[in-house]
Amino acid sequence: MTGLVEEYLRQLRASLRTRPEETSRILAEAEDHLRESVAAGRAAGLTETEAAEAAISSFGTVRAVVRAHQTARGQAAAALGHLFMAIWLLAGTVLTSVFAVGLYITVVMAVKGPQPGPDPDPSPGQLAYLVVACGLLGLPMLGSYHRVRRSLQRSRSRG
Amino acid sequence: MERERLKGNLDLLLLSVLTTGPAHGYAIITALRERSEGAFDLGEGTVYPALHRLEAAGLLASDWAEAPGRRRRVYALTGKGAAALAADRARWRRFAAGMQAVVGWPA
Repeated sequence: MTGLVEEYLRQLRASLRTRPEETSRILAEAEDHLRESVAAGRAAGLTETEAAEAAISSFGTVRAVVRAHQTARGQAAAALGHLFMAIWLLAGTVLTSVFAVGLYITVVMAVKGPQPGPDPDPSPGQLAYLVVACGLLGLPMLGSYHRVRRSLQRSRSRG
Repeated sequence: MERERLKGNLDLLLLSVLTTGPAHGYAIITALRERSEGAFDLGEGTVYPALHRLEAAGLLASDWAEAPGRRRRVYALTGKGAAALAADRARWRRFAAGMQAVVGWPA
């Protein structure tokens, strides 16, 4: 088999979001199809590379094939998953930003010492609690987001 | 031939191709292209989900067969598939006759 077909099948394996037994069937059928298509191209006088390129072009892009194999239910679940991940990332980023800004203000206030005039609202103590709470929530949220993303990427590349 | 219109009739086309006997995906797709004289030229990889769907609906059955150095899935029409095909063909003939009566061939 040519390297082009192997590379196409590798990309297809990495992109499919189907159950393992389904993935193995899809890949076996794609391989059989592409090898037959390449053989037909060779028989028609194309070079190995030309035949592989023509076979892959007729089969369709990895993206189109993956989309065709995803059921409507699978697509809806994937869309919902993406939405949840996006909201989680946004919330984590906002909380972490508040933590970072709050930490800066707290440090500046601590360095300047008590200011004359009425007590600021929120008081430095309240602000410190708020900053710590944002940090305790936001940082683990960002961490878990990246862990989930990495594990999803690993499971995709394993196919 | 627009792809969307073709996709809407893909089940009927696939079932029709398999009336000549069991075949694997590449043979089905090649037959579709040759019998339509090149007019039905789908993204080949997108035909397989349709075959899987027809099998899940009980209209096709499939099994692994040995090809040189690899496995291949061979599809066959089931009794339910043959009945569905007969009904689909009758609907298609009525539709095509109606279209033909109104649109006709170009002069």
